[in-house]
Amino acid sequence: MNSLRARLLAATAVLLLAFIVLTGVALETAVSERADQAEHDRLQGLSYALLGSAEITADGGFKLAPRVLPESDLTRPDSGLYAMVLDERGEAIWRSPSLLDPLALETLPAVGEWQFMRIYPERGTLITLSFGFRWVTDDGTDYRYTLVVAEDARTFIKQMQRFRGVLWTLLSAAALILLIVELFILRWGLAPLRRLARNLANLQAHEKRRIEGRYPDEIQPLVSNLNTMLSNDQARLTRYRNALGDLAHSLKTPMAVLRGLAEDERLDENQRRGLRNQLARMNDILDYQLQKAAAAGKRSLAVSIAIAPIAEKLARALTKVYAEQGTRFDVHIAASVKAPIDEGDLTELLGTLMDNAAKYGDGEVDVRAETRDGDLHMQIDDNGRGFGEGSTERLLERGVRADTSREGQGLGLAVAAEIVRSYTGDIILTRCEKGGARVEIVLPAE
Amino acid sequence: MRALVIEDDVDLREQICAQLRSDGFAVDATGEGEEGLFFALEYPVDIAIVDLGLPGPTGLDIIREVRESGLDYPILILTARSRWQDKVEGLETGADDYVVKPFQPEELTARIQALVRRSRGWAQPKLESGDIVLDTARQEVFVAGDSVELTAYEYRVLEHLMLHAGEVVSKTALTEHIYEENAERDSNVIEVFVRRLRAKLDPEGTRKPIETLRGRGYRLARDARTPTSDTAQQP
Repeated sequence: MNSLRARLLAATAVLLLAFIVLTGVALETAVSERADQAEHDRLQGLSYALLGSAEITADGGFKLAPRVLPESDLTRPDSGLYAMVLDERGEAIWRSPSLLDPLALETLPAVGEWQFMRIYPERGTLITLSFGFRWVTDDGTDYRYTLVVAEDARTFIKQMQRFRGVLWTLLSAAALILLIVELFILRWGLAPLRRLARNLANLQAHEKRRIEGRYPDEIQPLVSNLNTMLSNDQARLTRYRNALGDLAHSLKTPMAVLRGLAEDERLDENQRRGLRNQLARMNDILDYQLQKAAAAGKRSLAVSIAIAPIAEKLARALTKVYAEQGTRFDVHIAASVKAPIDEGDLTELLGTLMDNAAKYGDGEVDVRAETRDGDLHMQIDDNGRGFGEGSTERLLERGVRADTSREGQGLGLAVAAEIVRSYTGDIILTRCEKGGARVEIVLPAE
Repeated sequence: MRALVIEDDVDLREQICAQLRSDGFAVDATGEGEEGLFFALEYPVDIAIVDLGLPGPTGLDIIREVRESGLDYPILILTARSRWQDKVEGLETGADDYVVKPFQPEELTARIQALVRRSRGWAQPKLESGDIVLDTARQEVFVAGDSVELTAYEYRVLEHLMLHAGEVVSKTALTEHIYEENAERDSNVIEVFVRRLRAKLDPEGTRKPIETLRGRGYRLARDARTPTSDTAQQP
């Protein structure tokens, strides 16, 4: 039961079923009691009518002329309405013409009492009302009788059955309609949740940093919290980077001082070299770990950013740095090229690779980027002598330098490779048409 | 050449200053952003070395102010932050180059000298005028191929004249660019330096490399300057 709709629907269905059954039973009971009461009253009326027209013979016999019988059904044999009078021994001393055989009653009422019951002779069911009474004749003789009126219950049962049929059909139909309505209510009621899910999914595609729109009061806190979380995520990343930057700053200035002290003429050459080497190692370790930690990497809900402005900014900055060599940086990237990558990571990645290309190239650096099937393809070319044979795999591992006379190559490529890997992308070192090095990067959309 | 160093770490600042002085610079230094900004705007600076992480106005603030005031002397950023975002920010704000801490002292010197040369339109590390050659990297001066020994101040005067070859350089300007702010100054001393320079560069008095323009200053012949030179001419 992993869906809110299924849960609510199941709960509603069970509740509805219980409600319908209870309603049905209650209605049925009430109606059948009412019907019994009506039957009782009718039979009682008939009894009074019979008693009113009865005569007792001198020998205590019961006399009721067929023509004075209050219901014509009583005169028709086997009509379904019967009456009989029993004496104190229980012998039938009078039967209506409709009653062919005396009825067998298990109990008889005391004098002055009414007894309403159903009996079940061979053919069907009879509803009977018996009344015990005394008759004192003029000469003072006291006779004890029991009047029994009975009606065939066939019609009654049929009516009750029809009533039951209509009752349950209507209740079932009502239940079905309620369930369907409930289905629509749920769809409507849960619509904001579906909208929220859609907006969350769209967050990445539509370059938003927060979930927009007004939601119902129950969901709004969740949306607000999600928005807070999104901005906290951003803030935490910034804070983390700032903390690392501060750490670097506070360590690197003393290291710069040490590096200066390592030039002291009073130290012998071996000591100076040792100091320089260890400081260089410390710096490499610090840089590598710093870069690695500062790389944001692929995050869920990342925003798509344009590639061209960052590449162009780097090109402007690097043109200044390489003014002495007169290096030209050409950026061939359409304004529409975008990818969900952290701006810091992209700047670091392109900066490192463009710097490398300028350092090892011969005055020309070309940067290209495009999106194919949502994947970002980037390409950084130079016109130097390329990577050389067979050593490209090793260059991507940390700290390996292809040209040990120049600084930073190995580390730079390793840092770039690390960033690319954090976006589950690929970095390929090849040769471009100009003969120089080409670094190809593919960052997958998903 | 007058260099301004704005770095808040005392040890590092003193190291850089010592190194720059030994490289022939007159150095003004401070660790305060506020004071640094004042120096940067008011002193006759030839190059500024600015640490980005300063208390008070940051390095970026100082660079922005300097550029907004229309000053275009080269600025070198000193930064502990090696991420490209930080470097690009500094360069976009108006700096010309950066050096990441910790640096090799020679690297700092090389970058500074390249920036100063380039700002004066010289493409090569060797400045030439006639048969006088000044090697900024090794701080050596040759006349017709022979090495000439100069004192630190004589070297500074010659370097300044050569960087501004073809321009008239006043005694005041020379004083400002070879002396630090709190140094004892006497513009008569400049005349002494120039006389000594002339004696060393031109012992026979035949070539007369340094012209005196009465009441205006001195001028070094511009003949051997590179074609890329585009420095403004004095009226």
